[in-house]
Amino acid sequence: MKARLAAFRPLVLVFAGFVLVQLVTAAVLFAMKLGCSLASVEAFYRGAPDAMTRPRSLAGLLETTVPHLLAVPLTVFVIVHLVGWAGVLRRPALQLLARVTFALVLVGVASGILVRFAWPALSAVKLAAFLGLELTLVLWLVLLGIAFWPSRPLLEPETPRAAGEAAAAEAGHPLPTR
Amino acid sequence: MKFLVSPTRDALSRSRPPVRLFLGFALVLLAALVAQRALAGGLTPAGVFEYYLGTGEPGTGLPLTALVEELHGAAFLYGFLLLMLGSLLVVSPLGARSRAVLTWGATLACALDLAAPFVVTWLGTPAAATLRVASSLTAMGFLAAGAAALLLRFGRDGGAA
Repeated sequence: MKARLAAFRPLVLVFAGFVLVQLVTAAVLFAMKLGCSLASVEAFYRGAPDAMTRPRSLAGLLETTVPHLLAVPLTVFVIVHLVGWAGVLRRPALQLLARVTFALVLVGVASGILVRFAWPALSAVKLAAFLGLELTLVLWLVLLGIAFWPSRPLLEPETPRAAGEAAAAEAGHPLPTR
Repeated sequence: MKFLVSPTRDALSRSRPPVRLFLGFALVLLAALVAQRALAGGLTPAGVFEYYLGTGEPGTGLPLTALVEELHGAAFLYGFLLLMLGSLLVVSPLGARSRAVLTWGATLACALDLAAPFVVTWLGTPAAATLRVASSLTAMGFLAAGAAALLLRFGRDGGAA
């Protein structure tokens, strides 16, 4: 880890903790509302006469979809940024994992609406995308933990200039930029 | 974030205007949250008790799904506010003790505020409802104090003290 990232270490770990709470509550909500079987996911979106539930309206679906279209990509973006900043993954791996994660977000959001209005069999995709996203985000949190955990030794700053900046910042006298 | 919290005097000075705008919005958000909770009865023990437990009879309280939904949304909100304000505090000219009090006070209060609805529901006592009022006000208070302190000091006198 670069020396100047050390100051952000506790904050990032607290942030990871709050994201973990979101992941756990998302899983609980998914299990409580949509269930864990293909039939229950389909019934959630298309209604089930036996259970006296009605199909979801587009307005009702968008009420959940719209905030999630901001919140989930934003969370992924910040985590990718932090992991990339700490330099714990090589660039190709970082890009691949980021693309997979964003794709899962998109598929997860779109498949719910498609189960309701296009093809009920996509409930399998919805379930797989949700599980995939949860697992991928857990992996990101593990990477954040590896990058920012206190036991990880601090590496030397990458350039003499960065070394000077880090030392000056620690002493409370930041250097002017070039 | 790299640009906004870069610890050089010039970069901090340049990032001061957008950071101050963000902090202004953060304060508006916190004011709106307090108003929202006040309107829902969340700032009095009796209002909190009624919101989470209804009349106290079984089946009149807030369902578990709604409780988990509340936790889900609040964890996002608090998580981001803590990360943003905490990161700005790291490179602010505030003293180390002030920064530590604001950062860790807000973190603990926010964590307590996330847990408080479950404590109220499980204990079902007026004292637990008082805990929720206290945790709400403390969390909002620490976050608002951090935002206000940054609004006044961020980007002035160079970087971190």
